[in-house]
Amino acid sequence: MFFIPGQVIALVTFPGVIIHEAAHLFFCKLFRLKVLDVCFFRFANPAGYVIHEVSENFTALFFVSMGPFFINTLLCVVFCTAAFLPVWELKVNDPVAYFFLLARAVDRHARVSVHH
Amino acid sequence: MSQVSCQGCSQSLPGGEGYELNGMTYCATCVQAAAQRAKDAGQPVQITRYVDKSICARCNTYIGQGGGVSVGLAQLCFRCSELVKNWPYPQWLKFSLAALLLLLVVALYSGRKYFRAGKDLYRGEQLVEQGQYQQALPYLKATVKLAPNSDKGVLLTAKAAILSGDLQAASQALEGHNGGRFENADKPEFQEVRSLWRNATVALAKLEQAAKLEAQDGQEVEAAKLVHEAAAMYPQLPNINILVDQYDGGAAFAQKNYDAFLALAQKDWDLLPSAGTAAMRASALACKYATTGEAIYRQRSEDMLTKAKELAKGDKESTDRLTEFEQRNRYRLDTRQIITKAEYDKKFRSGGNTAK
Repeated sequence: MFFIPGQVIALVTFPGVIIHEAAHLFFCKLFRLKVLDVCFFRFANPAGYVIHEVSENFTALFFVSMGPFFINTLLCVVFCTAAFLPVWELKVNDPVAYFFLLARAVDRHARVSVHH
Repeated sequence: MSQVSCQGCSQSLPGGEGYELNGMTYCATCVQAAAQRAKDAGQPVQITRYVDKSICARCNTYIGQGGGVSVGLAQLCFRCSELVKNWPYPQWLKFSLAALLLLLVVALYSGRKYFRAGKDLYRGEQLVEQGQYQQALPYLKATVKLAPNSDKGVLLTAKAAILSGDLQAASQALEGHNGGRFENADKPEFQEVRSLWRNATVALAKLEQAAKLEAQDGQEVEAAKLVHEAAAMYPQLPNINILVDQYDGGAAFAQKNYDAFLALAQKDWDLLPSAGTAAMRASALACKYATTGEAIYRQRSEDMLTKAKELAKGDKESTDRLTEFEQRNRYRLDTRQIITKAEYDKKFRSGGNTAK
């Protein structure tokens, strides 16, 4: 076991971070929440953020918080569709295998976050 | 940064260090006392950070008192207020997503063969689970052709091939997989195939040994015993039941039990009409003629030999074997003497190695 700094993980899985923040932004726009600032990726903690207005709308806050879970999971499944069979089951060497890495990176950030 | 005046102690302090309570501005010390007084008086107590509403909260542009647009507690310039209402997706993000989706479509299109192979693997697995090994084999072979390193595909192919008697296909699949090496030798699927493979190869070795013994006079019973052992170890070998009967017939012949010999020959002929089973039946009928002298057996033996020759047409090996057998059968019918092939060879030929 050895410690890998979170920033390094974020750097390696940066597509997942970008999609994570884009998912927050998507639901902010969907529920017409005012967005004050967005950072899709940076080499710091947190690796990205979306600052939006305070809202009393529970549904909006629920979907903004859960956005990355839905979007990242969906994209992970879509990318895995192309890569799962050749990589996992058939074990063939094919460029589509890179989609599996992308899916893993996206899935790494498919989590709920309340500090957007 | 703008300066504000504390309503409690009248001190001037930077706007960033001020607090607001019920419309009044305080420093950090006075706001606590003011909050206590408000609480005692039954007034609402909601302390917030002082916001300088004369500058835009996003871009720090001076907008003057009462200028700009209020967004929650913040005051924004008109440009920023439009931006926050409808924050655009960056162009690079849109292009990246479009490129990624395009790549995905290309990957899915070029990966159609993998979906076909996956479908074949799934179908083959289902058929193996239903015990339909022969039917599963073409699907699994197609999968392994595309993915020779797939543990699951190769193990299923080997299992289906062994259990349908196609040892060559099993061998090809196993050897094509990293030279027969697998990721995890403890997996039950691997253990099962290894056990099946061992049984099959040991059974084949026993059959080979039985064939050598059968060529020698006096070893027929031992040969039949080996074939029975092989059949018990690898019952899926094609036509193994007929092979068992043929060796049992050989043993019955050696023990001069011609009724049993004829019964086995009849059974095999009914199961699989071929040049081999026809010749065996002709031989058994000739034995019966030799022992009983009943002409019907002789006639039937000659008829079966004719059928055997018809069935062997186009097969040089079978035809040659029948030509050799016909001479011995003719001798048996003409003299009513039953001798083994070795005895016949010794008497009339310099040597040979064909069946009884």
